[in-house]
Amino acid sequence: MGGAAGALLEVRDLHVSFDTEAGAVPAVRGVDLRVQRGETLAVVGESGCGKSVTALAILRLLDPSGRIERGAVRFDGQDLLGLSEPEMRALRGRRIGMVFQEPMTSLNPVFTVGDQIGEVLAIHRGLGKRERRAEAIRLLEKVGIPAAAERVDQYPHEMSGGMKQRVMIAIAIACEPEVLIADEPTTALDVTVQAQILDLLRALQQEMRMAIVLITHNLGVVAQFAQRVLVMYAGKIVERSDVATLFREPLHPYTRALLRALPSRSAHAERLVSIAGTVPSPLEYPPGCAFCARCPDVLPRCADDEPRLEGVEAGHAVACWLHAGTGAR
Amino acid sequence: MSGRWARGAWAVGAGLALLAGLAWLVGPSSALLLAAGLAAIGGVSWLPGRAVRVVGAALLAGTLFACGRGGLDAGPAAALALGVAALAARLLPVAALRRLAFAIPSLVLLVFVTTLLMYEAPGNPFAQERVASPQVEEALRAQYGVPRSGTAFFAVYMKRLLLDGSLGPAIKVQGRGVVDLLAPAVPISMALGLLALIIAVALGLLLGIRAGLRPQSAADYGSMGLAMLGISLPNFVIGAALMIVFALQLGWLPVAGWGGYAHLWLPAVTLALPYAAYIARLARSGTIEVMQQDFIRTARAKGLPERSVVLKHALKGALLPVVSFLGPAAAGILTGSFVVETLFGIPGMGQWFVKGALNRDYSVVLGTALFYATLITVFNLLVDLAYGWLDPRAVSEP
Repeated sequence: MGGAAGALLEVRDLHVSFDTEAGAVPAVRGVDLRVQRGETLAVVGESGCGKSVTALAILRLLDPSGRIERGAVRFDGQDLLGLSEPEMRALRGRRIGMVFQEPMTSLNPVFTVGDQIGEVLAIHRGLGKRERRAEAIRLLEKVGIPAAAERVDQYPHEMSGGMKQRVMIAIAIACEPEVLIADEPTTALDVTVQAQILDLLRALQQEMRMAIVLITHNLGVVAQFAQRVLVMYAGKIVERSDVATLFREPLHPYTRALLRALPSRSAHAERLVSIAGTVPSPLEYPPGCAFCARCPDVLPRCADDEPRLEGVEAGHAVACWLHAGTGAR
Repeated sequence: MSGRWARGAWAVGAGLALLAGLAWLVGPSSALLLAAGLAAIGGVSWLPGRAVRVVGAALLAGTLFACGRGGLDAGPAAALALGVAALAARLLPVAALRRLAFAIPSLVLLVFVTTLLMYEAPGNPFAQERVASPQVEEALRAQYGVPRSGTAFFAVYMKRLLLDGSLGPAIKVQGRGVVDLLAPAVPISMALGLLALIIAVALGLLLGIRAGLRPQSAADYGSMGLAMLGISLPNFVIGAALMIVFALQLGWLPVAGWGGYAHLWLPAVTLALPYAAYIARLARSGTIEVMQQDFIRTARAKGLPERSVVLKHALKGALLPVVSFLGPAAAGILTGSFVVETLFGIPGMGQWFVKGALNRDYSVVLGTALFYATLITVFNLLVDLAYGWLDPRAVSEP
């Protein structure tokens, strides 16, 4: 897979591990991803597969116990892992924005939302006090908060969850970033609010032409929103494809299982389908494919021999022995 | 339903038992008065807003009148008190007036209880080795306004306080009033207490936040070890150690006695250290907790420098446990100053508190008690206000 030249954000062979009492636990094991300007890339996987850690590692916001072992993160030609902390701070919130999963706890309860939006405007755009307030109101209106001029002086606890997530989005887009990393932006919200937030993100993306990295475990959200998808399992990418192909022709047994597990309208009143078995503990990943213990189509070599991510056709790659060597490289 | 009835029955039973205990201790009429006072104060919580405005303003007017009478005639004092109270009723929020309506009767109740306890203690101001004749004792009692029963004394004392704004004559120091005795001591004790409080807060926050930002580091173990020492060592040991090092060995500061504000440093540090240690521990745990919050990650994702992340986003949260401790800490520092004042020979309030109690000088005891109680009440009020500012979720009534 060549063609890296035009990528706005590029992650190559990223390895992240966490120091625990049981030793270093690998969380991300060689992730590659590329985001072009203006596109939406979805990263899908269940909890603990390393998708959020990848996002935090891109912005170098990992907890002190987390360590980037190896790999490269390039943004607009710069090597982010080589930047000094002040250079990195100049990017965060200005050229790369981030929205988190928990709007309830991601805003500071003791400052008004206006203050919290204003902070970004002060450090990255150098706005004065009065300008900040006016701009904060404009941003609140932009993310669809009614009566923004009153809401700007409210505290987070005076707002609903969806409203808080809108405030988080207002903070993230305050400087018109080129990339917005949205880590499970709708997971903590109820379904109707989820759709509103996704619509808002889409509208903002079209207006500002920003790229979005959408991290989610919800394939429904992926289908609505993204152009390309990465499926992650146990710290690795197991399948990479555009959205239409992935839903039409999933190749990796894990992806297929995920799609089967989606509740469908025709199969109502039946039991929900689940994937048998559990994700292996990061302390005991097998030498081969991490999915082999749960895989319905497991081959003899799977447990010991690790499949690499290989292209099977243009824009579609999978890490699975079932499909190894089947397509054009 | 039955649960509520059971709880009600328990409450009534407990109340009656308390009353019986009190009656046995202080006599039935005093016990009833005490119970009524407690009920009245508790009842303030259920008063509707409008009634709170009236009651709070009336109590404020009474207090202001008493204070004003210290220096003014009855007319101007009354005018001043009514004017300010009327303004307060209009302008102050109900929550503030409710606190006043709670605090002022509490102080009155405090005087009452202190009186009862003083009268329960053996002896009286006029008991001497040479027994005075009953006529002489009666004459002295009449002159100083000290009847034989506690409740009667309370009535005399409150009447004098409210109408004349006077804390009464000192019984054992002839020809001088309690106010005259305490006036020179107050600024010294206040300076000592305030300095100690500032040292305790500044030192405690500095050590605690530093430790909390890097738990399990050398700075953490160092400051927490220091804190453990500060909490464990009694202040007469700390005081003596400080005297030996800074006064005797190094000769930087005076050993003890009073001759100016340089004499305040050693006692203030002695008084402050245990509280600095507590504050450091609270600030440490507060900092550790707040630094794990999601909004700290948000602040970093905005591109804020670490300094702003800590000083702006973490500090308010880290301060909350410290601020709740400041009320009791201030009380402790103020009352703790008795020991330290004695140790360092400082002519503050502490000497009068001790002398008054030993001499059974009722007016002096009540004067000092009332003074400290007022101070602690005011301080708790300030802590409440600070809490509301630090945490907007601690909603007060409109």
